[in-house]
Amino acid sequence: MNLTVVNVTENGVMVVAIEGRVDSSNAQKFERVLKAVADAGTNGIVLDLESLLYISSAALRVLLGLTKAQARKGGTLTVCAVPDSLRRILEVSGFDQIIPVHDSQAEALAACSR
Amino acid sequence: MVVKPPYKILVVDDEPDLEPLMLQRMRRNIRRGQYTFVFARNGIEALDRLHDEDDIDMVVSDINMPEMDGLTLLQQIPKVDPNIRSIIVSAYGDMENIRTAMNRGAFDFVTKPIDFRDLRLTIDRTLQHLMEWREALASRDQLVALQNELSVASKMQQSILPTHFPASPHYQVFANMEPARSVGGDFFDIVMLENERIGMTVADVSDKGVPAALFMMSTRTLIKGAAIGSAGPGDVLREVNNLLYEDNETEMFVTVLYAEYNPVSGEFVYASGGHDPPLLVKPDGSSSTLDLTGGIALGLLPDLDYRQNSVILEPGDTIVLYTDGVSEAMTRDEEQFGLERLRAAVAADTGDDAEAANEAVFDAVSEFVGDNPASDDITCLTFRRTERG
Repeated sequence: MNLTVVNVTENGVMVVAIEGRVDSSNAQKFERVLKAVADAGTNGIVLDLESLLYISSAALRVLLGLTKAQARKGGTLTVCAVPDSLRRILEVSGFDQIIPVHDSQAEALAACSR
Repeated sequence: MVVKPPYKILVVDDEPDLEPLMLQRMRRNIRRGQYTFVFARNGIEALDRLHDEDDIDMVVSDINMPEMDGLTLLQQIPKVDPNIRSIIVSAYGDMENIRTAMNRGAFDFVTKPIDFRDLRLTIDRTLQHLMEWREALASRDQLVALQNELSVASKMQQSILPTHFPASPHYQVFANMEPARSVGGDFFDIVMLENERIGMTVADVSDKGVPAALFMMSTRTLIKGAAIGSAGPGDVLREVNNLLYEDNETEMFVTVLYAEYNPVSGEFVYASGGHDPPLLVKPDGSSSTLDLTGGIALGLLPDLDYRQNSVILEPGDTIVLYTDGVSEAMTRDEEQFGLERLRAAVAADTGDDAEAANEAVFDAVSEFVGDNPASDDITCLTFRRTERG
């Protein structure tokens, strides 16, 4: 698993690309890194999942916690560029109804600025 | 402290006839040195006994009693000893009181009139849990490694799975769960309902370890409670979701597929809380995935509605409920087992034997993954309407 901040927009939205697999073996690290990103005081976080190979339920829990934390401070969390196999996981588990899913970074950033 | 049998059970009921009846019906278990019983007639008397006798392991209590009722008693028990487990006895379909009892920490419940076989199974399951729980406490006290906690959690997980499957001329049902070495969160359950209906659950909790095992146990019990006297699977999931959400501060969640079958009408009704939809296999081997009902995994958000869907099963039709441990079982080259192989495995065995069909799935998965250790629990439940059914 690798997390990279690929873009920070003028209005403080941070785009983070996630690569590899996030499962129970590295979910805690995933949580620590994302929390650090959120604490850096961004207005919104966009997770680009294009190169994400697998996400386990432990990792979905982390995303849920982050969504709630963002909502408390008036920020947002969205995901974009979700590969088909992962999109199915988000749909079946119902997470696509909790975390906004966008096709591309551009679309996600447009939604953040609305 | 790991206690050995006989386990001391305090039975609380204002009905004087229950005492001789209980001693009579449980005489074998008493003679074998498995249980000993003490009795109280109301909540006040029960608390007195708990104070006086510190070796009582569990409480079986009625709800309606003079002086202090069972629901009030439940609130008081942890103040005496937080490690005592309670079973509540309630009227059939009295969901209101069962809910309250569960919220107040009851471990399980049985309905009136008491079916003593069911009570015995429930007592054994509760005692099993109690032993695992004490073991967990002991190991936590000694600060032993996480691996140890996982083994305790996995024993707790095994202890809630049904080992007997109902026999019916109308259908056959069989299920199994193969735990992964480290991760574990799957369970299945079967509940007998009014009018010969049968309820079936397959579920996957989002985490591992003792907290997840406890979350799993409350999910199982809440589903059982909600299923009795509910208006159907959608209703059951709505109710359980709200109950799980209420005291869930850990972001833990569970995906559930809950279904009910009515052997009179042949109707199979199901609802999903973030879980894969059922698979339908016809006697000629053709198969389809039933429509997803679109519900969110339970425990995440309050006040959600869960849609249910239904199909009429023809004689010989098979329904397969499974967790992602089956569909996502992987070879060393990271190729997934997938739905097509699952369909093929079930379709290859369309005889009248649900157990054989279910085992065929496990065999197919095991053959497919080869020597790659499972990274997730594998659970599969096979339900078949018999040719005569």
